[in-house]
Amino acid sequence: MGWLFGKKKVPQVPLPEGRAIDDKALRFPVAPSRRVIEPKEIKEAVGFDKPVAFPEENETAMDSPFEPVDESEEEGLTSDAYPFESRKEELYVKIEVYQRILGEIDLVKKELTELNETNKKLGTSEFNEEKNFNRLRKLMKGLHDNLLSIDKVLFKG
Amino acid sequence: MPVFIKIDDYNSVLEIVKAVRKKLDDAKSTLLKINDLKNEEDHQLEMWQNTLSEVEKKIDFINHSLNEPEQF
Repeated sequence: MGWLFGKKKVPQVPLPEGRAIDDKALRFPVAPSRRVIEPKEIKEAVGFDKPVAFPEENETAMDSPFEPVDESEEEGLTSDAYPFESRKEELYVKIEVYQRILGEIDLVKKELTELNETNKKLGTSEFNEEKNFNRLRKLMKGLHDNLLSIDKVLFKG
Repeated sequence: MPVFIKIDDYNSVLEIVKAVRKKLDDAKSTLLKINDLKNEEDHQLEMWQNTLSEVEKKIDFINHSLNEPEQF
């Protein structure tokens, strides 16, 4: 179609070639996202279902499940039972200990459910006991009345 | 490399654990009382059983005495 519109004019001044721009240079820096774990997802997040090789249990391991703290900091403690109670700083627990705590909580929940069932059975049992006791009392009263009748008959003659 | 879990509200967790321990102590104490009551109940039931046996023997004696007076 060059015959219709004429020959395309070529600019006399060379166009700037420009520089190759790195794609990454034009992107906004991505802030490190902080992952928020909902309470429902805690077990999944810590890999509760995955088997974890617990370290050998010994007294010292269970006594200090928390991050080691400098002895100089411990001098200022107000309570021996709860060494971290008075502190405002963040507290971290080892994942093994955390998983173990979750497991123990699960077991406690199961045991409490069992205790609840036992409680129901005991309630039923107590009810039956009361019912039987009332029946026994009625029987004894009848027996007593009968004995009184016999007594009356025998001593009448 | 050890992995740590951040514990928020550590103090409230401690308070809950303390409350749970108190409830456990209460439950243990109540269980002891129930056990004592049960022992007392068992004792009373045993007495009931003994007295009932005595009454049964006496009734048998009366029954025999009335049915076969020549033997007595």
